[in-house]
Amino acid sequence: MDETAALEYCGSLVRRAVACGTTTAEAYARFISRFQARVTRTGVQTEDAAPVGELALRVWRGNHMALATSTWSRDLQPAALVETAIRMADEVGVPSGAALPGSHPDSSIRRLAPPDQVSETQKVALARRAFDLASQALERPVDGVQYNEQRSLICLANSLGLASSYWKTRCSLSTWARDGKRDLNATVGGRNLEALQPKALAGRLADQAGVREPRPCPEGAWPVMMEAPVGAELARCLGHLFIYESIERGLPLWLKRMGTRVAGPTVTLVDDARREEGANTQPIDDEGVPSQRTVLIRAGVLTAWLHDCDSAARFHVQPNGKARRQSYQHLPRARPTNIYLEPSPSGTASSRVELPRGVVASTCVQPASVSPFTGQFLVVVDGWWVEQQERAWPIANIQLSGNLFRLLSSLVVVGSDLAFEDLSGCGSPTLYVGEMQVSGTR
Amino acid sequence: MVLSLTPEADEALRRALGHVLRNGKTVVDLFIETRSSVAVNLENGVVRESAIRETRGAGMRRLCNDDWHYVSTTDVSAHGLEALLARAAGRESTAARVPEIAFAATPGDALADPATLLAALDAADRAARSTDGSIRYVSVMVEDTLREIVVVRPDAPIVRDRRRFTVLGVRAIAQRERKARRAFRSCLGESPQDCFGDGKPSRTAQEAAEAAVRRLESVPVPVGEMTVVLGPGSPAALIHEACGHGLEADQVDAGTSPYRDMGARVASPLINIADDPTPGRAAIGAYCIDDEGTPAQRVDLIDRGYLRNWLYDEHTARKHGRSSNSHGRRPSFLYPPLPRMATTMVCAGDDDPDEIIASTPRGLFVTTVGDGRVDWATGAFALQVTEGYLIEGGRITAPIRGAVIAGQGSQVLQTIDRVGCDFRLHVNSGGCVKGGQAPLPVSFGQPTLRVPRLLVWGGE
Repeated sequence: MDETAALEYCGSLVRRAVACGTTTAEAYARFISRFQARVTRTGVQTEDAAPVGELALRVWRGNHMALATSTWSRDLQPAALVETAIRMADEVGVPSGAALPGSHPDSSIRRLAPPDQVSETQKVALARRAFDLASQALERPVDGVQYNEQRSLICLANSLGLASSYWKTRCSLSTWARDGKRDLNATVGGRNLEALQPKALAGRLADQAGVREPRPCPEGAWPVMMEAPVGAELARCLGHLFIYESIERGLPLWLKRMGTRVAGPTVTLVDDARREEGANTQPIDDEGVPSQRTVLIRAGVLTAWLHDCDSAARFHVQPNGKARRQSYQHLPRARPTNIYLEPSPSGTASSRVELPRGVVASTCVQPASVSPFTGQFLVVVDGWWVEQQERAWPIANIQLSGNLFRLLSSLVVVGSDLAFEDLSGCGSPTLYVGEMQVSGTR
Repeated sequence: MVLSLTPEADEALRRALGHVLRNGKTVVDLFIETRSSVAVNLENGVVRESAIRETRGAGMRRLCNDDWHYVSTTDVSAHGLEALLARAAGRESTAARVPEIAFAATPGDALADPATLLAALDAADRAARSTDGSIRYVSVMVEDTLREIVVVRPDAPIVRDRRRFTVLGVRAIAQRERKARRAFRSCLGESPQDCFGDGKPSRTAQEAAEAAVRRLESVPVPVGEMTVVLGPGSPAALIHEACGHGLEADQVDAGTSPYRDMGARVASPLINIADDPTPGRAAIGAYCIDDEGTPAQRVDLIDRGYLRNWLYDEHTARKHGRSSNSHGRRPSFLYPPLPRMATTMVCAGDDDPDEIIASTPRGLFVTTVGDGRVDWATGAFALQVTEGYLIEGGRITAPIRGAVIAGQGSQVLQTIDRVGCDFRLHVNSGGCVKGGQAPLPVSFGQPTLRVPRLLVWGGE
């Protein structure tokens, strides 16, 4: 389905819902082509999903809303979708005072053009080349390389006059290998196939493999230098505390007060879906509100939360374009987009920052977690133990933990080396934390 | 909504597949799926989610030795399926003609009425909030799901399976001063009546609330090596993650399994492990045929400590010169089948669970486990204990918090010295993720098991 036809399809769903007596209606559609090529030592496996169409219709009956979703097929009966949505709204509607955006000038929507079509042969060839380069870098065959590509056309229309569409594409190359008892993994991502660098992938794998024989790390409370990938995990965890549900489910009271100092003066946390480098760049959010740059913490002071239309109505503020759908089958909720800690203007460009004794956390072994109740932050990392400002020996599977709110007050942004993670869309420069609990070389 | 195929349409579909075969490709199967669900979520008595979902799609696999090509689409119209066949054959189009497939509602297949769901949620919400004054937040969700799959092959009759389950989950948060603790419980049925009957929603909610309240009194766990008694039900997640994945044939073939020597002693003689996907025990992920059309069968994996079998799909079974043992599964039409667990069980032993506790002077009693890290290749694991208690002087005493249990799955199996007679299946409302595929519904269960020495870490 082409862009015009897809947008018209959404518009017709909305018109049908209005004709059936809904107060407000919104149709969201995503048409996806997904391709995956996996090259292993024994063969090549490909997966090709297209067209995969996903439809989500939200209808309001007065102040009650419900969601009906369906996959798209040429023989789909739109009337059935509208009927079930209305029935749900009438019988178990969600109380919702959300004010959806109306039409906005097209100039505010920066369309991302559909990417050029690349043949399946070229994609498999790229994966094979990456397999060869990664194997050369490791000096033995890697276990596999995978190329992933997802091209999505996203359309949104509502009964207040909104009709917008845009394209989103993500590609990635990843490789994996077993090194004794360790798993080695590396990934590079980009907007299209041309942006993927198999050499960079091989280099990342070689860097990991080069960290041989990690030694135990002294346990206890130590200063920690977080390099960009670990800082980006911290930013991601922080972002999830800035949403309505976190507050409702028991976030500490300080987050309810705008203008409170919550972090050191060098800390500025920003969420910006317009930022090109992030993986979550999009011109409008999943309710049609134009994306914007939102400063959540400015120089250590709490300044904003992430809002979808519903939470904005509850807080009597304007939505700031952060509504995202976990999938088309879920309601849009405020979530971080490209969230990052701003670099220090006077910081060093290098991540090799002075640290007399402590831990340099280079990469995350698994996603970090934070408890919204206690603020307990926990991340498992690989990195280096530092003695007398020198990287003395590599350390692996080290658990760093601490209370996030205390950690924020001792956090210093020391680097100007802001880097975004290829897949998560989160970013950070090098950070210094005065003290974290370091444990576990098990 | 179910797939409604006339005998003529059956035959036309198989002929269409045969046409692709005549083009010199090895087509294994065409998989068509419909899934309908209705979901409602109540938070502190207010509806927060109300959704009705319909999914249809088809996937087709072309297999040639270790190379394969899998194509899928949501367009299940005749035109869409013809295009799918052509892509599977690697051509612009084929002469294959596919009949229109009718999707029809049949009596008895209707999803639960939203009002019925809301009544069950209301009852659960009230039960949780009336349990204790410290309950501050209650979230109750229910989802009623009906899934039908059809597997079409050119050389065999079309087979189909209908899978239905209703799951109700309750999350409760108790708060006293600055301390907040949460707990989660769920119940399952093969229909809404089954899930909601006999006061199950209220009882489940009350259990969740009571567990959250108990956790307010929790003490930090003592760390170090100690005896760990894994209670019935939920702790079987450890067996699923740290042992079960190593018993899947593709892991064995890839050399990423510690269970490669068939016939070897891999566990204590007290241990029997089986995977049984057949329906009848209210297990999420149960089926009559697997996602490749093989009739479901119980597979005894470990018998009195000896490795007896692996879990196969058709592809891995063919490589081993065997037949599939009905564990070719996929989360949806978007993914090709892989060997996967369904309902993995450590079978009951002879010991009285109370006596197991009484004979343990000091240790940790684990009742539920949560997230963690597992290396499938070695079986090394570190899992959070979401609910556990100290064992002191042969008695269960204070609830603990912040515990992580860590070790090697194979070592745990080897050292288990007591197996209770109290087998319990865990209602697992999450799913199992493998190979980048979406979460797949699985179940697991076990009786009380005692591990004489296991590492316990702690933290707030």
